[in-house]
Amino acid sequence: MKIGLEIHFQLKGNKLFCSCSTEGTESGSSFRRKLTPVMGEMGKVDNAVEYENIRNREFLYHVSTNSCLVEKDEEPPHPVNIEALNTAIAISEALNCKILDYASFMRKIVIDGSNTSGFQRTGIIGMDGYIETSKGPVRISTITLEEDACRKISEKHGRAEYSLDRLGIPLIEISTEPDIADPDHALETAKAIGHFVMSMNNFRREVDSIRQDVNFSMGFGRVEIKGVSKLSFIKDTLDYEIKRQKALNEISGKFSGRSPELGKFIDISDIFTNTGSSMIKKAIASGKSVMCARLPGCNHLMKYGNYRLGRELADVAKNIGIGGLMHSDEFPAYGLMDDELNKIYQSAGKMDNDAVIVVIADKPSFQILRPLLIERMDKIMKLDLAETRAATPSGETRYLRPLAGKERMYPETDIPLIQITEDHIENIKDMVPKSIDEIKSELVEKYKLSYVEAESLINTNMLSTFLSIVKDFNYPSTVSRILLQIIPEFEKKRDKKLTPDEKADILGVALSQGNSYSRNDTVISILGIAKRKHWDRSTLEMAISLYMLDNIPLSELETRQELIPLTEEEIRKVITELVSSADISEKNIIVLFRKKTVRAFDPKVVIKIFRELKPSN
Amino acid sequence: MLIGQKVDFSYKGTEYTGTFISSSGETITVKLGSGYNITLNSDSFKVLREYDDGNIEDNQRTATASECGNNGTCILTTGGTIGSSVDYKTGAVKPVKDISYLYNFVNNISQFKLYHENIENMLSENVDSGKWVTFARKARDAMKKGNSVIIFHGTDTMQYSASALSFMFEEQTKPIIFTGSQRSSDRPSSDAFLNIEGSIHFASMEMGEVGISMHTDTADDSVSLYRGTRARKMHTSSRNAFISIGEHAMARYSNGTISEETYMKKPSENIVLKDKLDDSVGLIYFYPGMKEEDFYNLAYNKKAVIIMGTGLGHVSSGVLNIIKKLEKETSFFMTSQCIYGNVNMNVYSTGRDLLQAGVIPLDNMLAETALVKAMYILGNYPDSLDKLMRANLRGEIEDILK
Ligand SMILES: [Zn+2]
Repeated sequence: MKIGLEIHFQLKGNKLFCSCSTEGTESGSSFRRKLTPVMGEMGKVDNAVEYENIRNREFLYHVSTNSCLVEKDEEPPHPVNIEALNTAIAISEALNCKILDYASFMRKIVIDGSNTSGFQRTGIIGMDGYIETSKGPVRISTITLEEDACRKISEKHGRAEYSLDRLGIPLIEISTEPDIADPDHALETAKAIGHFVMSMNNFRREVDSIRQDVNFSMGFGRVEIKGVSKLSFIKDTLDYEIKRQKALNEISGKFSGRSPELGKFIDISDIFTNTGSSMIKKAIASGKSVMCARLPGCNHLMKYGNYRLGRELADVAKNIGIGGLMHSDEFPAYGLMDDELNKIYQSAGKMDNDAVIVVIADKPSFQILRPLLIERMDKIMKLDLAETRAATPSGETRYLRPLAGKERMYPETDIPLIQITEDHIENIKDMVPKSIDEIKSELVEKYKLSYVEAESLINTNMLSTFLSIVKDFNYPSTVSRILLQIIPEFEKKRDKKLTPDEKADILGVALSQGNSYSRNDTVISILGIAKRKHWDRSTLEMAISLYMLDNIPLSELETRQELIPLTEEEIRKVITELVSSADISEKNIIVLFRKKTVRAFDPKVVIKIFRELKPSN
Repeated sequence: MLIGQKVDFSYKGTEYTGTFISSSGETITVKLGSGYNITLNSDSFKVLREYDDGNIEDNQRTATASECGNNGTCILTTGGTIGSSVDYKTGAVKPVKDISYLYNFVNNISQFKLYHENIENMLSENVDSGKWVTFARKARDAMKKGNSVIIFHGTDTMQYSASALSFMFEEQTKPIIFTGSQRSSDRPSSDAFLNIEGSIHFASMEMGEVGISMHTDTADDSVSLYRGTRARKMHTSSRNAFISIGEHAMARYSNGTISEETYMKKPSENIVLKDKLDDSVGLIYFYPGMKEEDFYNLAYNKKAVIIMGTGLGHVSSGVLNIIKKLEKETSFFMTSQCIYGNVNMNVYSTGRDLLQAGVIPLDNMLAETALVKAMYILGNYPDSLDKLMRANLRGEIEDILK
């Protein structure tokens, strides 16, 4: 088994080749463009029809508040965003790459409209590195700095609509060699790389800011799985793909690699004149036809146990816009009655061992669909499974397109070479993210945390939050306790996670710097009040409890009785009262004292005064 | 190493295979198998093996000479972004060899008979009056064979060349259309293809003028035809950089259809080309505090000087004194830096003084157009300079009352 990863992550701040912000909203205007794939850029597309389709596609670009003439492809790129370049250098250093003497950018032709220019600007910054894992080093082939593409809004009737808001956001791509041994190892490697990414101050931290592609092969051709959205899905996705390929291997074995011959499509629309299936009724009313075809020997292979041949065929249909491909392993379903099924099977000529597929589509589509289905069956039977697949949000994969030919690239002559000297690399040494082990020992030595605490902060992704708070609120052990114990405990008690606003209310602006939401500096926070009022740990925890469990608003906390510590004078008064009653000792004084007041107090002072006042017997 | 040669090399201790692209002494550029070019310091790059595959591309090929046939559309290429293609290995820009590729990339042109002749390969900033004469003669030859003429030209000086041909052709039998692009044609997003599509359609009109065919807007929706003498490049980089100053575009092309928007001269029966230009003309942009001697040096020994004055057409009293001194040998003409609007030298005393000194106001004629017009008149009708400069010969003066 061979697995490789490509991890892309966005940077926030400014775009890569202009000074537009990475954040923005729609501005209301739009413009229409076309792309002309020029001289040989098409690579292997020599099919005239496909070529025409590409040439006649229209793209509508929605202008965003964070776009200028560069995003509109109306002006050459500005000099490269130096902070983004430095980030790419820093991450290359962290991953033991060789930094190139010069950053030079290329134009990678992209004709799906996702780039207004028709190409993506991309350049290699680091090459030939590695990352340590429990199963040995995984080699890093390249680290590139590139511009992100437009965000797709919709696609219909040959017209795709895009927003310019995402176009030009700096994107760093980290590609590994296929050194990863299994799905668990893939997850571990992705997490290890992810650690470096997330420790970069300018990592964008939005929903879509990190995207992962997985390259996978288990001997049946290389599969590129695009767009695994979450780290944790890498393993699920790979497990799914392994299961899929194993099942296809078994199916291919049953036929000794020879493809069963797909029967002719037979129009069976007439069967359904009085059908109870509302789906079929609607489809026929809208002018579509229902056709069926026999797949010899495929009974109980379409959807049975681990077999999902039906899905393989449905994916191909879906790609040309045919949503309705049903098959005999699913029936009875879709409101079809037994006599309708019998008629379908009879029309298709189904024998016991055969499967039947039923397709609802416009009549002309069947001519396009049939050769695609035959080709698909053939590929599966020959176990030539190489292709590009998409990761689904549920951790599965689905057919996307054949593997792309080699990307067509040529130099971006509008951007001069940027020399990266030894001095330059030396100057940004502080930006180089530290490895997990280095960070752990720093947390233990510098902040006196336990190894367990250090590990939890890293594993729960709270390291940057911790560090930014500690910079401002100088009690590392208290901060660590609040993050790792107090807040999770209260969250459990009230059965509701903190919202970002609540988080800012408790932890203050320090936290917001590492996150997308921003709070004005003048906004107070519980930690801020604690710092100003010199609260001790128990008062602080009481404040968080009031806020989280009793829903006391932040603005009222400062004047709450519970949070105004008793003065020595007041403590003396309470103890005097207590001493007059019976059974008071140093063992129970604190418990009894707490019953007497809702306000905060320093237990040490209570003990001290008790010793002074206790009856001397 | 030769361009395109496969090499094994080492860099910082690791060995790679790539294709040699170029070297500059200090640096070496190699293309990796992934398609990326990387540029390294020569001293950190060590060649381990050069492959001899005998299949290295000849990069010295130049445009083949060809000539225009009859009764079609003749495309004359002169260089500029639009007439260039990119060497995808090195990124170097070279003139196109053969424009038959246009049929594959430009929509709605299959019904046209296209010919191609490469007449120059130059950056448009190097165009001069000698080149305009060449362009004009080539255009005449093409028209003689019954062809319409399209000239691919760099956009920077396109308005000067278009003006020059406007004046030199006193009569023409076919349209002469200049076109160019703001995004080079190697890019899928290039505006060249739609501009060319528009120019081919404009060239088929019953019209006898010189125009410029460029994007109407940032969108790939339509192309406008601007009168050669009224067109001006008004943006450094955007697709819709060209507009007609003070008048509508002559025509607009969209989706296979032309709509005519304003007056265009009908074609003549004959071709009358006056191919003499006298470039003893100056163009002086006046600015506050301009030194008298600087003005003097720019104007001295010129037969005509076009001044771009401030506002309604003014210069400082110091410059006025120099004009008075040179006025015997040099004709002075006034245009405005405002680009839009007429000069009017009767409103302020400075203007009246300038008129008295013999400076001739050119109404709303563009300064660049006036420069080229003066060369044409000096070359062909030197005795009528002052009178003809004030006349509207090719729509160069937009009469708002007409
Ligand atoms: Zn921008």
